[in-house]
Amino acid sequence: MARKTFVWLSGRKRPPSEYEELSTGIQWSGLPVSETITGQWREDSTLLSTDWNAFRDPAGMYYRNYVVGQDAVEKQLDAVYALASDADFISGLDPTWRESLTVLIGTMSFAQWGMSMAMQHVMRFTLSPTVACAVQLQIMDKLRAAERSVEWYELLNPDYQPDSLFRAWDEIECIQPLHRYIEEVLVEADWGEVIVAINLVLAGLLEPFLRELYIKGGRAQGDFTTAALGTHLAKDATRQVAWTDAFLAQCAADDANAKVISAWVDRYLPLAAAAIDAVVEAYPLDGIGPRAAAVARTECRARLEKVNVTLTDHVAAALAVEGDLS
Amino acid sequence: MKTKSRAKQLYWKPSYVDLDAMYPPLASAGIHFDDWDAWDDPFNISYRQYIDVQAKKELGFHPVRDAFERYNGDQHVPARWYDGMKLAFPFLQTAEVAAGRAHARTARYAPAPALRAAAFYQSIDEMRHFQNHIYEMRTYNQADSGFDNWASWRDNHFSMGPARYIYEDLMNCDNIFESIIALNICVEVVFTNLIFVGIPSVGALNGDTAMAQEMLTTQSDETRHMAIGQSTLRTLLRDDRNVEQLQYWLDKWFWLQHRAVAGPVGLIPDYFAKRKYIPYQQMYQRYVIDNFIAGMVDDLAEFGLKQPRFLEDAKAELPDYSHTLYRTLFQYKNVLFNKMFVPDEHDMEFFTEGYPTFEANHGKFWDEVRAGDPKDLSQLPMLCQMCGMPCVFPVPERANVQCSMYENNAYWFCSNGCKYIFDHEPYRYAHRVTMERTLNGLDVPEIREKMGLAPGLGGLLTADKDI
Repeated sequence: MARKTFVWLSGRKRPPSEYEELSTGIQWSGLPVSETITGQWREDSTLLSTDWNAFRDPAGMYYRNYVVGQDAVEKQLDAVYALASDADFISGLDPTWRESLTVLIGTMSFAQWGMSMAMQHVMRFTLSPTVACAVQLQIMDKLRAAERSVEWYELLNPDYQPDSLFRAWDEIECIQPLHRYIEEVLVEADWGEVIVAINLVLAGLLEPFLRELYIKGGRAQGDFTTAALGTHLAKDATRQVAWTDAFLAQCAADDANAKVISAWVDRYLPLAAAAIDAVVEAYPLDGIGPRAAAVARTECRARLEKVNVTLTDHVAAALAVEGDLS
Repeated sequence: MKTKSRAKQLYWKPSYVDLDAMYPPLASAGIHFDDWDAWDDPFNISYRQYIDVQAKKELGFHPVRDAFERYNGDQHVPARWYDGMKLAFPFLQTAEVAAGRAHARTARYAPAPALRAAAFYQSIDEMRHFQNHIYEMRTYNQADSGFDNWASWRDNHFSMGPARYIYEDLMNCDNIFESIIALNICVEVVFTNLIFVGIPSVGALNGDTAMAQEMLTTQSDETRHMAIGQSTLRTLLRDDRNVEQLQYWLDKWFWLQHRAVAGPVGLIPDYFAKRKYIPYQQMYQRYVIDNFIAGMVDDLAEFGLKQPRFLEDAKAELPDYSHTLYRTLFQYKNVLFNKMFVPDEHDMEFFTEGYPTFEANHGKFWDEVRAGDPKDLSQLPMLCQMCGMPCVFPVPERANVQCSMYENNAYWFCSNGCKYIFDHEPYRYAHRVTMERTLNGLDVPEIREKMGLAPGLGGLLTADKDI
């Protein structure tokens, strides 16, 4: 006999997944029951929808499969880090590569942390319960990325001073556009805008950039740890891209929403592209950096087109790639 | 596994936007602390540690639930138990979702980096809790079709109004320290031992091993939340200027949780459990009074903290609390989504032994029911403007109904505590429209339609069921 399900998921040809049963119906609706400033949350996004319950995370993630799955992959990363440390693999790395990584991986931990903090705002205020669930798990992914990045930074740089990471994030010139970008998004109140600024625009460029840099750079340098870290973070990022694109495509089916999303992309994308360019210019890494940035631009453009964002002239210019990537 | 928390290392003071824009003062208005950066988190856990511990917990709980469902555990559960769970789980799910969002706001906006980091994990814990509660309803739904529309009851039914009143308000506190006192102290320290340790004992006695395991594993997370709440309260009390505000929040949220949580919870051990554990009044004494008051509040007296203002009111109504609420719901059984039943001889014996005033205060009501009076009422009871509960306490015959005037309107309350809170913050609570006013004048079929009740829900459990 077929399993019985909840009323709002019944009557379909395909029975609901465990994810759907656990993640839908969870947020109530109706007029707010108390008058507080924080309570005026129902009007906090310019994005509009008639059915916030309709969104589904394509990865179908919920607490149980997330925690059990991440525990398994964390054990893999434990083993990789332990080998790098115990076998003194680190002292064999090329000094220039190691020095660059120390700065890049260390400061990227702040970027990951900032992205996680920004998504806490979305988690609190989003009107969609299924978006809230996807965001909750992404917050944890970003926390993972931040903490694992710091850990690798500390292994790469055993003489680090307690404030050396702060100083890198605060003072290194090429990092400042990224630093500024994240702070400016952190003070935005519109949760829809935060999703676009962080998940579509910044992560749209930064995640493929870091993936290419860590995996291809690591491979070229014989640095299996950085390559493994890049692989793990890229897998997490794939889930985030999937839910974000599905959500924005659903929103953009409404013309008014499509215009709002395109305007946000127009505001943020040139800033994000400039932030990546500043990093690449300071750390070309034998050509790996520029190539990673070009791949990131190409992938970001494809994502924007997929979710029906209208590319303004200066967005198109910011995403332009010179030469052949093949 | 060596990975340690880097939460404090990853905090920075903004360079490109104002500090007040990134961490708005509204979130901690009126609360004094010299150096938020020096705040300590008693756990300071990392992602790696969290995932490791929680994965073990998940792998311990779900096989029990799966086995319960696979091997027909439901056949050993009395029918009446499911009707208690119908009230419990939609209520709990509402509380957990709101708590998750409240913790998310703390994670983003608390002025202390360590508090923000701790709230990351508390927020995702709440996702675990509400999804595990839904697992329970999903399991129950295989045995009892009455669980298939719990979201609609939460949204539309008067009996779930208190859940939304209390927890949506908690989620919307402007000051995150109010939400921490409300959630980490007044929910998690004061009442979760009662709910997630006391009630599972009753569940296990009644054959519901899946629910017992689910609640106990939930409480294992709450223990961490409690410690964070206790350290927050203790830290803030060290500054005399905070004491008055913290005392008000403790007074307010203790009373609201007592009213909205402790009332419905009491129905489970006293009524919906066929096989009894101990009277609810004793459970409340053990888990709330002894654990919380003697264990924490008295300990903090040196900082000027007093017992919750309405603690004596709460204790005074315990002999009648569950009985009054059950009687009241019984009178509205035709507009409920769960079913009610007439207590049997075994129940009445338990009540008489456990509650010396039961016979005097409630015996006549049940005598009349047994003599054929269904006691049905067609109009909803007057509901409290503050908590949404019926204005019937301590006993319907001597209900302590209170009134306040605000902007030329009269507002009605079920207790001194609810009136006190309203009088302090009338602007926050005056616009609520209690459900009996929106349904005034409708008959039973119309009320059922408005509350989205399918045919077959509500009413009395039939005699062929093992009630």
